[in-house]
Amino acid sequence: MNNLGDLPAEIVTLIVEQLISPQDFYACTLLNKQFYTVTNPFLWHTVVIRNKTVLLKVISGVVETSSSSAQLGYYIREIEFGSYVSDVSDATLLLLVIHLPCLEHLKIARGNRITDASLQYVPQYCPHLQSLCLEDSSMMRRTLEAWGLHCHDLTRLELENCSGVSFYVFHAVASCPLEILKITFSVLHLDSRTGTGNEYFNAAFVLGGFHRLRHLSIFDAGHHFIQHLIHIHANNKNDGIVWPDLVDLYLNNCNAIDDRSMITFVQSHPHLQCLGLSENTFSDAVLDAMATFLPEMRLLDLRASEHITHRGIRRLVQQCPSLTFIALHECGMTTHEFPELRADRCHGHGYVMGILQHITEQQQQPRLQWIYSFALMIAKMMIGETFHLAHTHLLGMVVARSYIGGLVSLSGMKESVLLCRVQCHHGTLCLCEPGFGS
Amino acid sequence: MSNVRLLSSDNEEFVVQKEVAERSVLIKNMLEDVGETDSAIPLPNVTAKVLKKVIEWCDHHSSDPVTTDETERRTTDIDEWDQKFMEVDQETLFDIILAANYLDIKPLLDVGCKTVANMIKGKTAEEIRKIFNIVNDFTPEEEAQIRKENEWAEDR
Repeated sequence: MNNLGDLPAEIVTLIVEQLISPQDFYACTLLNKQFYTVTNPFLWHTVVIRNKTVLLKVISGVVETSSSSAQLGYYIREIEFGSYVSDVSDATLLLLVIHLPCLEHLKIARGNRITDASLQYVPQYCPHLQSLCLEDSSMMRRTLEAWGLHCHDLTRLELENCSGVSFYVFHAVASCPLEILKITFSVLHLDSRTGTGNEYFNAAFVLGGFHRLRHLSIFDAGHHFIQHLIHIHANNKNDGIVWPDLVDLYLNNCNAIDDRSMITFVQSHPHLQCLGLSENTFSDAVLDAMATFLPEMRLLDLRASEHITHRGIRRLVQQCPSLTFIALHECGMTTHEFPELRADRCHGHGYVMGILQHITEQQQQPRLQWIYSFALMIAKMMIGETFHLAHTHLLGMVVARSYIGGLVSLSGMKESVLLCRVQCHHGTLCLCEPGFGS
Repeated sequence: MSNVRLLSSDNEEFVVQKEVAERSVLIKNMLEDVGETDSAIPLPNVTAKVLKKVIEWCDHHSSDPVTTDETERRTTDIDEWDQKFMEVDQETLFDIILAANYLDIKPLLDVGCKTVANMIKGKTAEEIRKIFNIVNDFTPEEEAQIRKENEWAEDR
């Protein structure tokens, strides 16, 4: 009789491939020798360190087997230090990475004790790095230079609130084949962003050299830089379109971008799907350009826009079939300007936000589905998939106040929101707003 | 529409539409190599009982588009008909999986493996061993060593 314990390894592999959670992999490593051999590489492929206990156990597993024939560190392709692990020091990081020669993805959510002392050596031990995501660490030029020099496969770089990161970062990693670049400059180190017009121009120019970019987020770089960035790449007639594959663009401090540059930019990037341009001074003409040239646009964040009007928004929403989300808080608009939004549900705090999609809906789409997809989208944003984590608390608040309060009675919604709470660093305080879950 | 004759390991013959039989890449390739033939194709690794089930599946899915995208195939959920189809005893389930592997019917192999994976999910090693009657071939020392090495993944 055939038994799960006696199936050929190729089939056991196919079964194990279907599992996701580390607990399931763990259970399978203990079944029998065949399952152990097949499952162990899967279990160790992705290591998410959620707390100090897990950290110590992972270190002991990796270090203790480092001189044996079954070196567990060789299996690790992806390692993430979660935001609750506060004890990652340079020494800890080095201790681990020297045993991880095949590492491709490194993420450190709370790297306040991580500095150049370890970071600059990471690429030497992990030459196949494809993505690096760091929050709150401090790093200087030599780390960035070392990455640029050694990380030939780096397609994703995310640096959030890392002190010492200046515009130089773009020059340093200019030779990396980046597809995803997210930089949030440290607000504590404002001086690193002040520069001459020439410096802004150079940095923006170098940034234009990342031809494969699909996702670009630049936060808190200052309005001069953002102005240059859009201006020179909108008006660059000689070298073709920069970032021809750009799908997501998130910027803030957009108040110095003029309408003309923005319209030209929008026109030359028709594949844009998610667009965040907060703190802008655009007129409705920019919205009309978006409606005309961005048929695939799904998400638009125009928070703190000074001049756009509800008329422009309504035209945009009516013309963009794919648009499912638009953020308009701090735009001086009120829900009264959007009577179609069921104003009784959204008691405004000087902003309006929601899925305006249903303005255009002729046939009645089931309301449940609408709310559910909205919740899922928010959940995705919370976990940083489509939106920047630094802003999750704001979204959470807006959602909690204007929508959840009135609408929650759906299990799907609760589930998603719970997901947010688990995953989002700042989410808890906001999602427990009065009215939630009632 | 031409038919194909298939012969199970226990010498039972099945007459199947060509396009149904060709869900199996093995049979498809054989037919291409041999060309038009009157003789039955012997399948020495598949019993009549299992072959009947496999043909039932192929018949239901004969007009499915062929998905070449590996990740898409792997991540799609099992549809309702397949779920019902897979409600069989364990022995048959593994027989179907082995037959799908031998006959090279990837979508059926996927459905089978997903079904087993779903039976594994959320359970401890002891529970899985019990459900599937798996013999623990580790020495106590070996098992303790693995538990120690992989302990980080245990916490729920």
